[in-house]
Amino acid sequence: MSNLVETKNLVTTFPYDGKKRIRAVDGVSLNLKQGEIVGLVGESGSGKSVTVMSILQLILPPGKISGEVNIEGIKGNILDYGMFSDEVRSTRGGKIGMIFQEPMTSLNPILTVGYQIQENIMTHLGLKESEAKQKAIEMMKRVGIANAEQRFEQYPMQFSGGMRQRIMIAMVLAAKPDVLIADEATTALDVTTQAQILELIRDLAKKENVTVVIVTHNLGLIARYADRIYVMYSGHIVESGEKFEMFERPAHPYTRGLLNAVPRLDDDKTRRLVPIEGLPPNPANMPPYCKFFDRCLYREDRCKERMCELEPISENHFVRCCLSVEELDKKRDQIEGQFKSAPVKTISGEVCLEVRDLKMHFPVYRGIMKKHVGDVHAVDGVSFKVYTGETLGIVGESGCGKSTLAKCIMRATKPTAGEIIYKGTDMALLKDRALKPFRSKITMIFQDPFSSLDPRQTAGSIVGEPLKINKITKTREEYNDRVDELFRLVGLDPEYRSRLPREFSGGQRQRLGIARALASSPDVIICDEPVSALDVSIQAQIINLLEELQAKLQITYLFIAHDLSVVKHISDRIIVMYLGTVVEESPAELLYSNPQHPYTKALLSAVPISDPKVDAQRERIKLIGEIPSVMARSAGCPFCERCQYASERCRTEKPKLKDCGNGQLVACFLYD
Amino acid sequence: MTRYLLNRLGQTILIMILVSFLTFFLVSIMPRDPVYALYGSTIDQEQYEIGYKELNLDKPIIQRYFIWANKALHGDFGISYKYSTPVTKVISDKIGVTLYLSIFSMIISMPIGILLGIITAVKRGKWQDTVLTLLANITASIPSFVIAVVLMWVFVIKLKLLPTSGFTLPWVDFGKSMKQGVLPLVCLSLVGIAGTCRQTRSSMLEAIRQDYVRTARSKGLKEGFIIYKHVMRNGLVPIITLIGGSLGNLIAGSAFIENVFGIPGMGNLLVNSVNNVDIPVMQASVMLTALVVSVAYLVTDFLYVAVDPRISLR
Repeated sequence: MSNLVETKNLVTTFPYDGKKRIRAVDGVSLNLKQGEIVGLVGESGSGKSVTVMSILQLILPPGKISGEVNIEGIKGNILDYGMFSDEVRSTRGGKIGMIFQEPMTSLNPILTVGYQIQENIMTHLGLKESEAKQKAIEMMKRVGIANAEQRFEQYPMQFSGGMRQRIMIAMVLAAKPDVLIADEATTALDVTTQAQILELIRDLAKKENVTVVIVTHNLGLIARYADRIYVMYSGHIVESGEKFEMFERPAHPYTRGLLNAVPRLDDDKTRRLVPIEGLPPNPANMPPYCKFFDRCLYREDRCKERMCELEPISENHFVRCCLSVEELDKKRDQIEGQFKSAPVKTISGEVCLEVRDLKMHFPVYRGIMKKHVGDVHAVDGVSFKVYTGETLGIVGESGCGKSTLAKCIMRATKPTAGEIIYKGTDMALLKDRALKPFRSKITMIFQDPFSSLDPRQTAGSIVGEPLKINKITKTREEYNDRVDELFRLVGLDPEYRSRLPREFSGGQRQRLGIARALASSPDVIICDEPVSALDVSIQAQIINLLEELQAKLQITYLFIAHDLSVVKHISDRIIVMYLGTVVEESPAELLYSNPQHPYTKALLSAVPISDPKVDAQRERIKLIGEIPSVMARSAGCPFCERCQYASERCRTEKPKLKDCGNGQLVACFLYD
Repeated sequence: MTRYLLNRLGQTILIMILVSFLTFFLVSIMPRDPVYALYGSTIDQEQYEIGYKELNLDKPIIQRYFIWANKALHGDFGISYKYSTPVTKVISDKIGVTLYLSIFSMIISMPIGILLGIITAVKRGKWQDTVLTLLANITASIPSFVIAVVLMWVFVIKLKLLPTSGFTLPWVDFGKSMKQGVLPLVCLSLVGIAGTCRQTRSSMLEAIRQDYVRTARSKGLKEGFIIYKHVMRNGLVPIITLIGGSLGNLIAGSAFIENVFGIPGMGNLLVNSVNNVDIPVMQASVMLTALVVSVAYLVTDFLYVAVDPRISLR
């Protein structure tokens, strides 16, 4: 099969610090064949997005692209034509279409979605306006948009994130391209929507024989959807090959490292993640030898002698490493022997925190007179218990109320009703002054390591602030000792105390956030999506740190996240939330092996496992539609509109959590 | 959408009521006695008493406000103290002049300013941008009356090309009107052009780096078409708000210009009415200016709805 698109030694540079130029893409050669789905995987800064943008010459000056890009049907190197030439423009959209990450900003807000699809058709297929409109409506129907004729005239803001991505797909495929590039197209979406979108792309692509490039950092997505994979690191392709081959016999130390670093849904409870220590090299200071050298567990002195090339180790499997596969495999046993298992923790029988029938309703006002028109039931009757030293995972898609729940427990907001009992005291409705002693006992780690630290405060004073506020340390020395101790506890050098947050990497900042949360020796730490903003290799470092701290200090965690694999890995028990209510509570192990609630089942099946063989054998349960509006709640089960088992009773009566053995509780009439 | 527009209309009426309140009360606490202002300070006690009654000064201020407001609603703003003719007559002679100057200079400055703004944004960092932005910054930072004085010195005093002062409406004597009007119009327009250019540049640059522009490029559209269809409409939405504001500025700015060029307009009238304690004229001029500006803002908001669908959908 001939190549539709082929790049040879593609290099993209950006100016840095005056005259110097950094290479974001450093000699990438790849090819795309008709009808295949190719995964381009790498962490942030690996150059994966810049690579695909360079192929389309969407890199604006002062960025520069060099090398060779050959596209079927166009003579010679397309880079020679210039970014505004007719040849390049007919390629963009016409031959290669692209879907971007941010569904909220990638469509023009003041033009109708219909026009935006139509525009692409008129540009590349040369159809008249009315014909293009017919075609656009047809495409909207094909990507699953109901009432396409009416919705043609609507604006992007009238569509949800998942629906906008569907519009993007319709727009791109309408011009009949040969290649569709999805650049982190589903990263911003919920897992169930993500699965819907990627399945749509896969099905349409197979039907129309379109080649798809999935650019992502998520190994699970690649395992489920791709045929062939390229792994990128610091602007290089370090390994490429067929999917099954790559996941079964990963060769490059980085690929091996990534697979060891990500938690999987089918993990054993005792498995400890193996993070890739350190950080990718600074692009301004690239070593002249292997870029992974500093973080590589397999490195040898000869790696520093030269920059190795991407070489075949079997047919269709290429690796960029000085060591041969035999050498790597021999070393693997030695290295993996040193992996520790997860630290052992003890969970006491004492209830540390109990929440009973907690409700948080937000009033909604409309009009000039601010008339009260209804309430958003963000948290609607949630109850659970957490034992000292335990990790309770809380999962659910965006809008399910998990963050509001966290804010209520933190008492950052006052709940509408219910009880929050911490060691015997109900603090749900306490006044600020009475809350004071509890503030130091329940602390929080936040999602965004960038905005949750004051940019003008030094690291030392960020970490030490709770000590001062709660008057924990008496003297200056005591304070300094405690701050140093906290730095060491989270694996940071106390020397860094005087630095500012921007001098730390994302992972280090999250460590600062953890140190701050630990400062007042809390009993409970609420972790609100603590790793979702981090790259996978860094994610593992933070998860391990949290696990070690828990074993050492017997802290109780409430671990809130949308990533089921992470939650399952770290939690002892998990509650699954949907639209403000708990639909299932279960020990972590049983949740994966024996889920009860239809929503839990669908949620689990939407999460791919980063092992294509295991993943292919799993049962797929598809969800109908999208999460309904927060304002319109049915009287019955909140999930009834998307549930394939819903009966008349489900629509009128709300099921209560019921024990169904093995410590599992489920709110569903199926188990009555 | 209709609800939004009705809402805005209601707000405008509310604003006018508030402005009328404020003008009436602020003017009534002026330190000069209106009776002396009307009849001169040489009148005796008896005449004063009559004048006092005539002006309803013996009634409480709230009642006076309602009497005044009721008449004003019927188009009667009273008799000018200085000219002894109805205020409406005094103002109607002048308002045309000021509106002519303001609107004409807006018609000149808006398109030119927007055009220059688009050029500087599209050619960002190139020499066109450097030169135009520098000129715009210089012009915007000099007060308009300084520009007026300099232009007058060059064209009137040194070159003797144009008349020093006076004003004629174009439909009275076109040639004379153009000769007299060119300098004031240039002064008012220059400031408008500079401001509009700077605002357009920054809002266009904001729009150019949005994700949807990248999407448009990825569809293979022509660069010019992308600027026209995707960038310009988004970039010009904030500019529309400027139109309302700049009309207000122009009316205020024309007070200076009218003074420098000796043009009998509203700006001149307002300043004189304050100096002469011509209370009815003062009140009417403020109300009228407020009305013009409010209506300009209202029209702006209506335009906004037409351009940006997000507003009516909210």
